[in-house]
Amino acid sequence: MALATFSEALDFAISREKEAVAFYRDLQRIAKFASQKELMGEFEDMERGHVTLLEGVKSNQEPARLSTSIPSDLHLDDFLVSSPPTEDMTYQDILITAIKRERKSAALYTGLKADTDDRTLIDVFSRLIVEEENHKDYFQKLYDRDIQSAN
Amino acid sequence: MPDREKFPVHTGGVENFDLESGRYMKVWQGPQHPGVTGNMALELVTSGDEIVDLKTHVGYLHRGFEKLMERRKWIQNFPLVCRICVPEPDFNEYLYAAATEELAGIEIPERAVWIRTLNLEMARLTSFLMWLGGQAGAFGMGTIGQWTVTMRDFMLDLFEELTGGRIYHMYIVPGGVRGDVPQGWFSHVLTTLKNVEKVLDDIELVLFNNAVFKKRAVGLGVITPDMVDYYGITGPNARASGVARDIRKDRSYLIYDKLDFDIITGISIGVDSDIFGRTRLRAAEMRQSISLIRQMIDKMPEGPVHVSPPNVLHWKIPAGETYLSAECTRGEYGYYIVSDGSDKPRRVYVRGPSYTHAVALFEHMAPGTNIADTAGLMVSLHTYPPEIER
Amino acid sequence: MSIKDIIAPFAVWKRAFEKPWTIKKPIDDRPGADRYRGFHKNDGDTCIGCGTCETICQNAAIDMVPVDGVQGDGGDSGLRPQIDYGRCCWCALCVDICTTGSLTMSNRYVWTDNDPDVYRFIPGYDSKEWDNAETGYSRPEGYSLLKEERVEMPALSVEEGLKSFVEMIKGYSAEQAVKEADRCVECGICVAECPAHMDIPGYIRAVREGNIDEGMRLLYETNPFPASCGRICTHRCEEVCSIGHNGDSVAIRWLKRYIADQVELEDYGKALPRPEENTGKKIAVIGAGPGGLTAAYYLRMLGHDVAVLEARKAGGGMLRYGIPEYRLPYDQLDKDIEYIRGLGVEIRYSINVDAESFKNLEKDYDALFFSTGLSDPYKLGIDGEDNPRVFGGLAVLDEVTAGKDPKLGKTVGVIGGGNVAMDAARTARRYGAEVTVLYRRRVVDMPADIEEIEEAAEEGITIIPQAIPLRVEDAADGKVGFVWNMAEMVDDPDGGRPRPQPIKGEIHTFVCDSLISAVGQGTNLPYLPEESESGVAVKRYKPVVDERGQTGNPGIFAGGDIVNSRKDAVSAIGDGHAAALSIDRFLMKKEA
Repeated sequence: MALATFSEALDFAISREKEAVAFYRDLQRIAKFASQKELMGEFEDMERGHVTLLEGVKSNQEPARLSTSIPSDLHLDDFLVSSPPTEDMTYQDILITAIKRERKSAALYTGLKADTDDRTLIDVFSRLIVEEENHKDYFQKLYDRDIQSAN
Repeated sequence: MPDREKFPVHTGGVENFDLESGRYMKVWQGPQHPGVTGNMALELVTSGDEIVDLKTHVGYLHRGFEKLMERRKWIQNFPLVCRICVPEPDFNEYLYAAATEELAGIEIPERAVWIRTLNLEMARLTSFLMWLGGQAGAFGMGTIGQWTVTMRDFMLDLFEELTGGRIYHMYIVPGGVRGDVPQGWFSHVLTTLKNVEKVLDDIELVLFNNAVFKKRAVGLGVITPDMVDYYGITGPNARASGVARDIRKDRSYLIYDKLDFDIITGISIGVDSDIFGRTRLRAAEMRQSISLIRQMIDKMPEGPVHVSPPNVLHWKIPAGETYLSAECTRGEYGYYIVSDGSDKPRRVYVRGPSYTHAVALFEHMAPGTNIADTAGLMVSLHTYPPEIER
Repeated sequence: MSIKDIIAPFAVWKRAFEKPWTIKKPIDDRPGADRYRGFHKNDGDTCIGCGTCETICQNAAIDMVPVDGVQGDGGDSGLRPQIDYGRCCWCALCVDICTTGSLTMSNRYVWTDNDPDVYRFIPGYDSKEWDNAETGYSRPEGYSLLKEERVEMPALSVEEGLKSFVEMIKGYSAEQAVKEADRCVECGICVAECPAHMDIPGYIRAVREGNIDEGMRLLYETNPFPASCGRICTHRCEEVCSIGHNGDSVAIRWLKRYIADQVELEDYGKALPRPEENTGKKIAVIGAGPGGLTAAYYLRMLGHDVAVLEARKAGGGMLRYGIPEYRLPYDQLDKDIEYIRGLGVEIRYSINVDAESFKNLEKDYDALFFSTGLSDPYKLGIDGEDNPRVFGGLAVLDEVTAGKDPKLGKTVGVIGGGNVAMDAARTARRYGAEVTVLYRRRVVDMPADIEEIEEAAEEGITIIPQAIPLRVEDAADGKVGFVWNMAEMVDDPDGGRPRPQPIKGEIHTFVCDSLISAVGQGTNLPYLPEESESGVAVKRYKPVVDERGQTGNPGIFAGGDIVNSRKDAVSAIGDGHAAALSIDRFLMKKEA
């Protein structure tokens, strides 16, 4: 799509985060166990926080509040295989799904950034990529600590 | 039956003298007096200059060692025992450690035995150095005391280098000794011994060829051979009167059987058993110690110096009792230890040779002597109050 | 009397012309000898506050005191010796027996001050001018009051061990046990580190004194699984044992086993106390593993009625279904469990609890404790892992427990580095396979017990570290191929452990008959109702409990692997004990 302005770029990002909120909320509906619902609820809240953050960025018209530090990549997502959501997802399943989602987002912004010449947009998309990388890194760290403790 | 004619009982003899009559005076020499060899009180009754009666009072140095030892674990007592006798603490350390090892069935390495013997002979020399100064000083020759105490200080330097302490060595412990000899220590010992010998030569020149000393000390304080067994006299006091007894030969302990020495008696060096003779005898024994130390340095075997006992925090020694003795400068020093199978000694009795010398023998010998000679007489018996009451 | 006797004494005058012997201290310095026992120094970083110096001091001159800035954790008591120079006699017994060698002496011997209170000081913390002295007394070479070597434990040789599942460790004889027990200095640092806080110095003393009844009593005060723990405990105590600093740690686990081995099950009652009078309260315990059965034991001893519900056919949890027999024979585990059952604890097997029955249990019982363990293996998460030649580690161990040959083939690859991976590898070895373990990180990062890793290597198991799993594919002749990427370890910028980074082009395939995946376990807690119904909150798949195991619902408690991060038997036992006391307080309305 054509994103010509800062606001349009932010609107797009916000809609993606809102979609993520809905994703986790829907998962809770099909989830069978309390443990699953709790974690999905936690991630839903996290995504909602991202929405608020991006809305703030949009109203300030500048990306100052986005993350600046680029995390070092654990590269877990390169080989992890995710399966479609089910009613009895484990902690591992949910984390893999979350990692993959963030990776997709980052890829999407990377594509958008390559498509434009606008300096402001390039800057915004760069910052959004970094933001998504940080989100992905958060989930990867959880995965490495809690799921991969024995490997 | 003891010969009460020859050796009358001395109990409360003071009552026999009418102190109101103006013919007698009671003088307390001690317990704090430069003329006693430690905290001990001499209650003297004099008639003019002459002592007519002596009653000794001991107990000022009772520190309760033997009871303290019953309340401490076996290993915790070695820091205590050295304090029983300050001039030669090593005998205490050795006897306690050896008695404990015997009761526990521990055999210590050979080199440790040699080092222990070396320590004991050094302790003997060091103790005699102080004694010699005291004996000369008691007759007014203070210079000699300066020299001997300095030489003693150099001996203490050697102990400091070997053990980590000058006076309380805490080096002979159950299991062996606490650490091997440091590099270069043997040569330091030999150098110091040469210096001690030189000073001994000087002392003998000025003391044994001394008109004042001869006038005062010859014929004073005579111990006859029949007094030896009656009063339980041991050590140089006995040997000076011709009785050839030395535990190092009689009950050969440590490695004395491997060393070359003879028992020195008054007869073998041609002296009588008066103060002068005893001084000559002890000086000869100092030279004997020097010779023994040189022999040991020459022949000392290699090897470990300690075998570690069971965990000392809960080391229980099988029930039993033993008595070990050693020839210290004053005579027979003994440790009688009883174990009841627990982690603390049941009884540790320390036999100090000074008890008989300073009390019974001294009370017998003092009447008839001049009050100015009391100090010299006491020193010549080499009494040491701390080992009387511990 | 001759002329010589009058003239000779004047020879003393020659000293007047010689150099004086006096040292003019303090103008001239006179340092103490190299070994002089002078004022104390203590290296605060090496000191662990074990207090053995305080114990040995024959004049009570040392007090262990807390010091600002010194934390008491992980093998350090947080205390440091304070020495009173009014009582110290500088015998250096404290230096001789110091377990870490931190306490030494300088050769300084002069200290003048107007204030008498300064002479009671903490060496190494109250800074003194001799703190950096290079000479002074320290424990001499070849002289030791502590026994640095452990009594060797007789065990099957590697060849013998591989032939079967017979227990490899043979156990100490009475003489060996007493000799090993003698090494302990009773400092007690181990007690804080033990998740169950067992009275370790106490039971070691019981071994030393030959008082087995007292030993049993002390064991059961904090741990009703002595035969099991005496064989497989992770022995965190031994990691912090003060003797272990300069020698082998005391063999605490083997001494625990020794006590339990001396008593037949039917004689336990002679040494151990009976339960208290019945309180009329009933508690349901879900899970008959070490956590659940420990809670059941202590609740029963407090007089409550306990019913344990277990999904499997037999109790013990991972102790039975995870740990192989050559480490923990089933009859020893049965001994521990049977004693608990014999006290009147009802254990019902093959009962699966779901959310409905959980709610019923909550209604029917006065309190609930759940300790169900982590039974769902994590996936490899890579392509092709549904290959029929890939088996789960726990599944393989399950089969072996049931007495079946897992039929793994001649060559086996095990993916993972935890205890399950080691157990699976060594089990496969005993079925005659050649086994290779592939682990993502370095050997030193492997969470398995070091002994397990060492013994696995001794048994001929190859370990390939830094192997990142890529995918699983079919290989020729019905075999399976594990494709992995060699990694280099890269420092973590956040200060965590180094992470494996795949090296470009270093892709390898490991071909074998069977692959065992042992990369960790989790659980969905499928029986827990919503928090709104049960009051029990969950966070990241773990029930939320306070430090005593109580959940948001005051009558429901949890413990064990589902709650703690250490994930070993003794931590579950500690949790079970704490929860039992907590439940008792809740039911009987006692004060904390």
